[in-house]
Amino acid sequence: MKETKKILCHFSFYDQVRIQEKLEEMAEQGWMVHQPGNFTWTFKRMEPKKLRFSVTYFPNASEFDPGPTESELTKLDFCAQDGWKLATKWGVMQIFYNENENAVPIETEPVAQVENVKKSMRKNVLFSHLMIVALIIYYMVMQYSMFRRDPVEYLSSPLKAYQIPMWVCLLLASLYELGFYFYWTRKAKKLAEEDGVFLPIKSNIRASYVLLAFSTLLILFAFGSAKGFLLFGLVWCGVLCFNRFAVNGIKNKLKKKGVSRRVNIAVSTGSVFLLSILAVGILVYIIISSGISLTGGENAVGTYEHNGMIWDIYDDPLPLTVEDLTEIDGNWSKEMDHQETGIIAYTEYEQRALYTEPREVPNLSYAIIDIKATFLRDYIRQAVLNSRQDEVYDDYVFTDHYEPIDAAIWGSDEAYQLYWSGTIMNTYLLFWDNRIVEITFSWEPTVEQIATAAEILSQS
Amino acid sequence: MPREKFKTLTEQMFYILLCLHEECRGMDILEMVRTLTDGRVTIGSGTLYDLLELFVKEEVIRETKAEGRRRSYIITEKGQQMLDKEYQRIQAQTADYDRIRRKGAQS
Repeated sequence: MKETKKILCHFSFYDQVRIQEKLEEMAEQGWMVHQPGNFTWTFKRMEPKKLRFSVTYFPNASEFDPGPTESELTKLDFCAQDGWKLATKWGVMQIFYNENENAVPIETEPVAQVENVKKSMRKNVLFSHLMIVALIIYYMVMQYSMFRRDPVEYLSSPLKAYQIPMWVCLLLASLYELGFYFYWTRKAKKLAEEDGVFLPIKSNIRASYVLLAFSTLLILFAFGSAKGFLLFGLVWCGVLCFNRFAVNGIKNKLKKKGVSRRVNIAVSTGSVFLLSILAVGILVYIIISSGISLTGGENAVGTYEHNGMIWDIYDDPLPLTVEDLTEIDGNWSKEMDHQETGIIAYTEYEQRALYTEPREVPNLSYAIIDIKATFLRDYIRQAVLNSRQDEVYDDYVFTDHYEPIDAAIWGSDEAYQLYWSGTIMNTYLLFWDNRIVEITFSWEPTVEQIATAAEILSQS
Repeated sequence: MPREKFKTLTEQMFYILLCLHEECRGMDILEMVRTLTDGRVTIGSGTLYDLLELFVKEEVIRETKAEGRRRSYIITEKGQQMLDKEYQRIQAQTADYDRIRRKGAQS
């Protein structure tokens, strides 16, 4: 027969009423609370009993304390007078039980009760959520600058694009917690002082689960875009879990040894940093030693040697090849790199002559952008056009921009040619409805070759 | 610690301060209040602990001695003034009640 039981409990830390109800229900079934937790609570078997539980907060307590402080023990002595026994504690939370159903409640004065909860919340909620909000805002500013630099790359990368809603969700959740803190303290204080009533905190469990499920889904989308990413994500989660267990282990060991709160906090915090650095090191080692490709997809079909170096040869399927356009024979490496989200699909293709081939063997490279979120079409078009900008150095201008050309020969809505360093290049930028193509020929294409390329690229 | 909290004392605060007009052990207050009010007013043990801490911090009472975790307290001048003020408030309330009720009975 199992002596301990873990159950999934996702309460707000301050939802006294709901926690008490759950613990009373468990006690009637023969389970006494042993260790509360963020997601699971541990219970120990006992005789089924009708017990009364009371959840209170002791703002000066800390989960790093080696044992109850003198003032905590004094409070326990006070509570024991009315038959309240400490079942367990979790940071500032203290859980008492009483066998007498009619015992005087531990807290009978709403003003003091509000002050207690407020102090505990200030210590736990305010600081941590302000830190989280600051971190998320910093992270989002960084993401925004990456987005501004290259919106196509950003919006087509699942790892980046799917993180935006996830961070927005986390930001909203933290802002909600902060807003709730200020709302509750203001309202509870008023009610306690004017009406002598304590306003209980009620957690919104359903909203928490929805947020958790949505975030998990987004993480899976973000990391599941390629085999490498998924593996990376799973290994990273494993490392984080290990990190958490290890730090918890260190903290508990120090507590058992009677180490003071300050030393425990210093050592545990230091361990978080050290273990994080160690974890990143292990992760990099795994990636390098196993040869996992984080960009995913490409598989070399062979190698060749040139100038004492080994080069990979790829044979990925390309919609348009040099062979479609010319009669020239040669050996090429054909490489494709694809990334896609619900917003944009972006594929780069490159057909590069092996370095051992004569210089006459041509090269071809192109990128196809398919805009799925059509409301972003004009923005993306403009961003692609603006991706090349002339650079001005005092009295010298380094040209790097697209100039409009006759779109009719490409059969496109709009067509541009790259004007780079004072020279017209064989690089074209073409717009067809929701498709954008940028193509670079290593030679000057003929009208017929342009027509063939346009036909294939506008439809592939 | 907001001052307006002590503008008027709650019944529990009033009785705790009243019990401390002479030196008294914190833990004994629970029983004293029950006896004094014939069980009408009961103070939660956690609440008593919190209020004693709060009163000491606000210098409404002061600690007189500590025998291990058993501490004794006594009301301060400031606490006495608060208690007196609350007593006057209750008396004024009672006087108002009597006046209105008497008027009602005469008419």
